[in-house]
Amino acid sequence: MEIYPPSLVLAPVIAIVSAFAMPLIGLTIKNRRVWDTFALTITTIVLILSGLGYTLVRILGKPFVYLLGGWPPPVGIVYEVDEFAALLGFVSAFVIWLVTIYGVKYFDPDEDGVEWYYTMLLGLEAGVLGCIYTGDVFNVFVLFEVLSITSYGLVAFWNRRGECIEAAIKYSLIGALATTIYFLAVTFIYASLGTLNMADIAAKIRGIFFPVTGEPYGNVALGVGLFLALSIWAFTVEAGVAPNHFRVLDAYQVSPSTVAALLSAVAANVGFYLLARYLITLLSGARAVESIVNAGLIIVLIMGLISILVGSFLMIVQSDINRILAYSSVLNYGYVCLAIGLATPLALAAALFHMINHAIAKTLIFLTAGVYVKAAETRSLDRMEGVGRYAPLTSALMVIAALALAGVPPFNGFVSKLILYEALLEANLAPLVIIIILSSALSLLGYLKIIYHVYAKPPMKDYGKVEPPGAMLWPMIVLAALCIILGVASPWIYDIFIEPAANTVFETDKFIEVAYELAEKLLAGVRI
Amino acid sequence: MVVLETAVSMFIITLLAYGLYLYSIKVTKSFAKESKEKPLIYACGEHITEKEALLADRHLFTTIWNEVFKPLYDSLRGKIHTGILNDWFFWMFLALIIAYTIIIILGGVGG
Repeated sequence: MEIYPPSLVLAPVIAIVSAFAMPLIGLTIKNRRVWDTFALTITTIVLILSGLGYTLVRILGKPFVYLLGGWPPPVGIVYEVDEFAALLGFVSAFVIWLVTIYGVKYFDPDEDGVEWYYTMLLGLEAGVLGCIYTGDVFNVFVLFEVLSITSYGLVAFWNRRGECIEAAIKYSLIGALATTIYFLAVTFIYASLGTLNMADIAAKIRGIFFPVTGEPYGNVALGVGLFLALSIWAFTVEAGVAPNHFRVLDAYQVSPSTVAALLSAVAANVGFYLLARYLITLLSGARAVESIVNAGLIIVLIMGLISILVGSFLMIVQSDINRILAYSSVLNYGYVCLAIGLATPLALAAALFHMINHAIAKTLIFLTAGVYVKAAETRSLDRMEGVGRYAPLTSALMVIAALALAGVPPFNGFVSKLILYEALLEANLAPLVIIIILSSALSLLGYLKIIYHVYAKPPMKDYGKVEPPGAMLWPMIVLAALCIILGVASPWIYDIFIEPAANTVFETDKFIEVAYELAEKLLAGVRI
Repeated sequence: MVVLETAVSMFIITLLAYGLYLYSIKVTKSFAKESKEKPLIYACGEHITEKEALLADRHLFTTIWNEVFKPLYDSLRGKIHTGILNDWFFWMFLALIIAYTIIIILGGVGG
């Protein structure tokens, strides 16, 4: 058996162990600096490991399989990571790392419960990376729970504010429903195919049988149909795609800017990753369920379209800076969902590129908004007029993020939208291009509204020192630089990173093969 | 004699001028009270209300959009984005039912 350095597996494991260690550290060492250092160290280690993991998968040229506890697939839980998952995992770890650095100075020195914030943040990182790396549909449920529960805690961080409690309760009730519905989906696929391993599921509906788990039984089409309908619903709740977007609006609006950035940029991507993984890698191309998958893709496409319309229309009429950004997230989730629904290699490249671009630009704009909200002590645009003039550098960074999100060249958001246009034209869906252009124009109005209020208007009062300290500033500068680099250098970045990673989603044969080889080797002679 | 005639003429002219002045004030006042034209405000040839005329500059680009799509916004904000959990669940489950119906019909699950 080939043994690979388990860097990818270590990343979520270290994150979850540290999440459990954090409250103990908080109890024994009452020093905020120690907590900050601990969280920063762990997120740095996880970033390095996920980066190493991505490099490893690139070198291997095929998906990386790790057996948890030594149990082979399809019996045991395995981590199966292809380039798509590895790249997304690395980007997620990178964003979390920057947000952690920003958070050190964002929260006041006397802020209560910061150790719990770090506990939830590290737990969220474990949930995100685990969901992306795992090769087991039930393990997705477990890590989905980890991700969800930590998200609820993060939304409720300011637990002395009524609006935070309300948002957290709504967020958790809907989230709990989504995870329960996903659990039901898992029971249907297990009842139909007798397996929980992703590679085994993909193999069985293509007539390839792994050792041990045997052949499918019952009405496979019915089982897969239910699995797909319920999974799509649960993942779109996690991603915040309309009409399953309600909970994210309140949550992003009232939670700390770091939390809004994490949920909007990182947690939502998990939903999209799983949608692409299930709909395309596992089920697409299998004749037995072809029409069901096509119907599922149409649903995803329509949901994306609804999300685009809802996000763009409602974004421009908001007056709360975080709520504008929340609707902007719904709008951008719509683009990604639309691209996944098209299910062509070009569209999936657009989806992946937009997931990355949105993660970077949205994190940046939420972090800049955090600076303004903190200085003005309000989220209302009408009551923070001119605050940006006291922080010219932050305002410049915010403008970069806004233009990137609106899809203005030469920033990164423009490139991913351009690829999406190409994918739509390739699929003969030109009218949808017009809808996207119109929605982009509307979103630009929304971003201009923010810029106009915080920078163009004369200051309402003396806001004092608004420009944040270096520890908050340089993560934003890095993100702004990435908005420019990913746009300007997009031809190279697309060829080297995006296209190969997006193509791996369609390489179902490789995905099955690496797991099958291991199963054959380790379970030789074991048959039922 | 000439002086007296001139003085009387000047007096009459003054009286006339004063009378015209008083009349003009009266007319203006009654015009302000009775006329329907003065409070009307026009923008781009369209009548707009006084409230709309006091539009904040920050809403300059979005108000037209909001007015045109008012019925849509009323539905989106008043019926769907109510902030009430039960309403949200209604729309979300409607989406689930529609999703499953599409899968049954297009996916031919029953067959």
